[in-house]
Amino acid sequence: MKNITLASIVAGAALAAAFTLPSQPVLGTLKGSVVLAETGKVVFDGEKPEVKPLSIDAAKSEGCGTVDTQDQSLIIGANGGIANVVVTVEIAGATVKAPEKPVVLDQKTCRFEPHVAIVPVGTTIEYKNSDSISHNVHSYPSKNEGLNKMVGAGASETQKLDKEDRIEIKCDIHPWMNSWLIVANTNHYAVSGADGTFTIAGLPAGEHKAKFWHEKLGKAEATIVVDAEGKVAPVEVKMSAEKKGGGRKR
Amino acid sequence: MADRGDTHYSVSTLNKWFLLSSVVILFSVVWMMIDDWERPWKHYQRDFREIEISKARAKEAELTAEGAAAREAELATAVKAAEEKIAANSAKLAEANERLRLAKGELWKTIEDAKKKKSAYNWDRYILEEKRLHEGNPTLGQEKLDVIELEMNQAMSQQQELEGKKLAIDIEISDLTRDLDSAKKALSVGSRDLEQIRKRLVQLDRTAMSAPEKLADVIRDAPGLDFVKPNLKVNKVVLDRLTFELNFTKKKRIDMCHTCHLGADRAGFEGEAQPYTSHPRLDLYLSSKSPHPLNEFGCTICHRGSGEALDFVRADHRPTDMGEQKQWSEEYHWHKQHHWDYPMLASEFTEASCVQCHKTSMELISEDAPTVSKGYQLVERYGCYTCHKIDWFPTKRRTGPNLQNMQAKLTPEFVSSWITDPKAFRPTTWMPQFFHIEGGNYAPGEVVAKSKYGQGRNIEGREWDDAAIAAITAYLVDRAPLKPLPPMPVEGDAHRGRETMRLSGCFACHNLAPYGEEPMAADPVLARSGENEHGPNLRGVATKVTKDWLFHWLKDPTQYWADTRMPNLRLSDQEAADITAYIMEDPDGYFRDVPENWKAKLVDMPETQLREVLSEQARWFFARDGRAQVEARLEGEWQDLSKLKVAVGEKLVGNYGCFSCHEIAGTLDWMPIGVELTNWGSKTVDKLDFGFVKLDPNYREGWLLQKLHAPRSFDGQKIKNPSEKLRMPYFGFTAEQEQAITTFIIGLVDDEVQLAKMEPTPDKAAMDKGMRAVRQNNCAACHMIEPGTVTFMENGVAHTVAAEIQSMSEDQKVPSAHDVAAIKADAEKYEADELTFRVLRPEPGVQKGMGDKLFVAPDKLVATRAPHGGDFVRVVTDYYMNGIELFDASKEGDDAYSYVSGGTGDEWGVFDVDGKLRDHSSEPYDKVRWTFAPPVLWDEGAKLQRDWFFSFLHDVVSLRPQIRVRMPSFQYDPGEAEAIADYFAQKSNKEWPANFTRAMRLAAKQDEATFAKAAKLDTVALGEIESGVEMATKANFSKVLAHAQAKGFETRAPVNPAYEASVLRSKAYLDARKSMLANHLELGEAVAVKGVNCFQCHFRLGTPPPADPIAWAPDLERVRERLREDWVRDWLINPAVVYPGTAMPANFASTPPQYQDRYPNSSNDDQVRVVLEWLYNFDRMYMGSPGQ
Repeated sequence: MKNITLASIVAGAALAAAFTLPSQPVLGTLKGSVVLAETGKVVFDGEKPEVKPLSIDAAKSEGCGTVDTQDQSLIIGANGGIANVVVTVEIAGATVKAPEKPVVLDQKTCRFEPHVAIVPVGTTIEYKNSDSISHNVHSYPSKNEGLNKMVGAGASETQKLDKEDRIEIKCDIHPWMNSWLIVANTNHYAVSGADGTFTIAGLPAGEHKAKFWHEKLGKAEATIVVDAEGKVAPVEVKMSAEKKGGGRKR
Repeated sequence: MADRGDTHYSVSTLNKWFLLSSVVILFSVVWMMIDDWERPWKHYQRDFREIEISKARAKEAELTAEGAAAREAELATAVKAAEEKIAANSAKLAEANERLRLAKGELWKTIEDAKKKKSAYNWDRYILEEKRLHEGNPTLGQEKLDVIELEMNQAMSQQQELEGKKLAIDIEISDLTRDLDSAKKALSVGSRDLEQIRKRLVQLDRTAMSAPEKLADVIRDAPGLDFVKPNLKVNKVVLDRLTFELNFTKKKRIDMCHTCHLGADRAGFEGEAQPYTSHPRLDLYLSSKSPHPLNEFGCTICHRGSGEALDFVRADHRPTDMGEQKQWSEEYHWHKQHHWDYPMLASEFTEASCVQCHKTSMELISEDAPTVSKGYQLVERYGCYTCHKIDWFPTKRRTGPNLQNMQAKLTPEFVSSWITDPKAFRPTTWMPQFFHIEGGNYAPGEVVAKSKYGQGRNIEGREWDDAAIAAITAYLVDRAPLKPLPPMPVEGDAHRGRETMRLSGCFACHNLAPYGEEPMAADPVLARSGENEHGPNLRGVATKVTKDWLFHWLKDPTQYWADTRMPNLRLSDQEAADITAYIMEDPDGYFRDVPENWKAKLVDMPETQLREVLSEQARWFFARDGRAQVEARLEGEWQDLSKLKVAVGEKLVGNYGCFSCHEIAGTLDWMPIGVELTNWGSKTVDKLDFGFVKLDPNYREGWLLQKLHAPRSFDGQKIKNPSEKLRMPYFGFTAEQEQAITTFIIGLVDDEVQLAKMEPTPDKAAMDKGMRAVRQNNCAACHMIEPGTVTFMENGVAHTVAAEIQSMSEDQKVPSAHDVAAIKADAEKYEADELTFRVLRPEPGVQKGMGDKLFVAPDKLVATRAPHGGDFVRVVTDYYMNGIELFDASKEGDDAYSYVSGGTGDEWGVFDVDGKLRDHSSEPYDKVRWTFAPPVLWDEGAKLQRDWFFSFLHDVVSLRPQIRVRMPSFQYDPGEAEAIADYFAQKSNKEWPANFTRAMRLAAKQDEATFAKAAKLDTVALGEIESGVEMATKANFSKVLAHAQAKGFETRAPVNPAYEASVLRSKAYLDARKSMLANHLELGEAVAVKGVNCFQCHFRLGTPPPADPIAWAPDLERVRERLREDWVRDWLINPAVVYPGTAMPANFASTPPQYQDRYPNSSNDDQVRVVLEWLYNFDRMYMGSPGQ
């Protein structure tokens, strides 16, 4: 993990394509920052659980076209890397800049694209429907205002997100459709690629606390060290399955 | 005159004596006059005058400081301008007034016409129904009826149209004249205040008076002249309609209390000392606008005491405690007035007086008179009225289970232990303890009787009571020969039963709180919430009841006990068997858990001893039969011990009154044993036996408190026969409960108020009856009836808003309970630096709309008020999201906690109604809450058609099949279901003006000041309307309505509980629509079915939607009979402001509007309209109903 792996670039590119990356203005602007050097990797700890494909019956997916049946809630690569882990690094005192244009969250062949997205506070989201049937966008934020609207074929809805939050977005008509939208109070973040690697741009020299979150595996933390020349020692973070039931913290 | 020497006395000495005595007599006459004139109340009046002067001076200074003169000039100009405007428009105004006159006449005619047509329709319909029934032809004469119906509907719509026309003219006129009215008003308000104060000061303050005024002021109160128009005078009210009993006659009350209590009926003296202070609740009492104005009600009807006395002691004032009593004795020579039968009530018991008038509206006063209402509810719950008659008490229900087939349920061993001490097994039971009462008159160790008419040995309290328990047990068993129940038709499964019990609703009324200590597991059913204490705690119940009985009880409780409050949950045999298996097998350690050292056992006493004590009891309780007779039986038939037990048991059951609460064969017509309480509050204190208990002998409250606290203590140290001893059992009330019950009983007085009795209006009577039904059936356990509130500080100001807390972190899937301490503890645990609430009723001053998020820092949180109802929601959501948390005390740390759900092994989840196990634990809370938990009833009256509502209560149908919680089939008393429906309708109507105003302000997206200005209101009045203040609503709501009319704002209309015609189904409406848009119903169908795709989630004529149960929604076929049209319209436009959090999306909220391919060139409003029409004519579209 010394250099940028091909996979991470591909993953990053795919991500950028599906979802307008808001971090352009930040790239390379900070002194001594690391630009697109791999920052680390998230791997699964323990026996790899079996993830069944979604069972979607025809009645429910009428009008969808061919629906991708991969369960995106837990994707573990052959090398144990976990995809769709959200990594954030908050730097005290840094101002957070939101992209000027709305960030698109699309609904395509009855799936949300991307499955996990992260944006800085203040971003406007455009919930788009590229399908030929209606979807309802139902968001479940804890801090921002909720949204539950029918979005017809080809239509879209926009909403500005002003508070740090972790929002699940669902379509009630198609119960398998869900997406996670993370509103971060920072511009330093990443979503891990298919092999579990992630890259965070623009970190200044010093020690940083990185927070990890995955929808099924919960939370983790790691320290990222950036030296004076802006080089980073890649970290490896392990996450494992949570115990079922008992959602209380003791 | 010289001494002539012919008298035996000295004239000159006598003269001196005469002089001296005449001086003394003169002095005493003067002294007497002064003393007679200078009464204590005059001192109070002079002091009060000083207080008033200083207050008036302060107010004057305040008013002049603000530059009032400048303002006055400004206002005068405005008045002039307004007058000119009217003069300029005089012709227009005259013309409008003429139009108004004509419109009124026309409207009156139409109203009469509509009334006639309506009654004609009703009459014809009635005749036709009779005829149809008679001839067996259900469609007979339909055509004719349709014609009449059409006529009626036309008349009604014409009436509406004319009403609108009249209102428009009203607005037109008021537009012209309003400026003058408001300018004049503003002018008078500004200057009036100061003018009034100055006027008052001239009357009060001698420094503000002219010299002649000063002189007059002094002379007015001079002795001998003060009969003309004195300043100092006795104030009195003569209360024609309120009487009291004086020596066998009814006498009018005359209250003079406000001779000294001068500030009592006036605002502004709140902080002053007695006797000058304002009454703390002027909104309810004394003020002329309150429901109890001084000149109609006086003071003593509530406070008691002597209203005609003008002296502190003679008024029979009541010290609050011994300290004050001592102080008063020293200061005022206070002593109780022994010949006055109505001593003043101590302030903590004043609420007692509410009962004498409000017997028929005890529920309505529960908020303003919480203590006495609590007492009333306790009397109801503990069944005091079953032994102690209260003639007007609204229920006669027996509060204990029927014992006629007791043996099918209980063992004799359990019965015996239970009678011995019910609270030992079930600490929260309302069954009282009759035996072995510490400090009671059969206390262990105390000698009760010397046996054999004083010849034998001393029998001690413990053995006496033990023998009594054995006898009663034997008697009850004898009277309830076992009628075996059929065995369970299927075998149950405990694992499945656990989930069924959780989700059917059992824990809405029952809990499993452990004995004593705090629960370790965070399971909500282990905590007592009030609502889940409606039925008994179920801990240990498997050791109490038999399996077969439990099964049959669950299937239909009324089979065993007709009067039970336990409803029928319509469980299938399998479901009932599963719950039975779960309870009896008890895998979780709840249902076989009994208190330490508790064991079901019969009385353990050697037979000879038992026989001896029972014989003695027989001698006392059969004494009337004669000694010879009793001895003969003891030698004869009672040699059989079991017969002796049954015979004595029967006497004891009669003695203790067990039959009042429990149905026991053979006792159904026995008379209750307790003292009647109907007018106990009028009993004078000398009729009470205080025994040797040291209590204040002057007042009854202490006696009653003692009676409730230690019911038999008045027998202490007395020598009494066993048959004479006090029998009242020990209930274990808390001090607070004792006080509440005492307050209620003190209030049960002879009827003194026949003439002034409060008869609630029909609306209020319906509210009261409905509130009682809602409480007695515990509707609030499952349904949230009123949202809770949160009070927080913002910029130094406290705000209170109806809101519900949101979870603080993903680790907390289900939000915290509603109390400040718990919320703050959770905030610390989850490291939340900000609490999130969701606003459920927007309040003025907080710029948040319905459903908006509100953020409060934990240290700014001041108070919360729990929602009324809905505790059970937490049980459901907690189970879906966390499973059941079990605690194993033998393990340590996290290992001690385990979690179970409906799945077994690795499978986690809950069985949905389609039989599939699904894991909902990571679903969003809102989704689980709104889909699987019982619905809220915030504004149910505005939502449901009243007729449908009460037929639903009588005959429950499944509306949301995905919910596993059952809406029970209740055993309603006659009229109860109707009362519940009426209650919700009235409640919604009461809240309607506030909701309407808020909805309009929020729709206009204006803050209060802007909106108030637009509606020509002041901001304070607007705030009061929005907060539901009755007076403000009456005065100013019409302005909001006029504003709404002018702006074309539409929202829900108030509910008409009597009858609501469905406009969207009426022929007239449909004909009119057809002429405008021929295919409007088909367009509605196209938008709903193909555009919105309603049937993805909603049931259609009983057919489930393709979605999973978590997305299911009610059958659209029911809309037309169930829901009010106004409500459905609001719901379609924006569901999230009706139920924040609901899964129903806003389907018609896009710009530009969607579904143009289904309904070309349509607006969102057009679409809502056709969908509404489609919904309300669903039967005509799909069910072949006639009428199209």
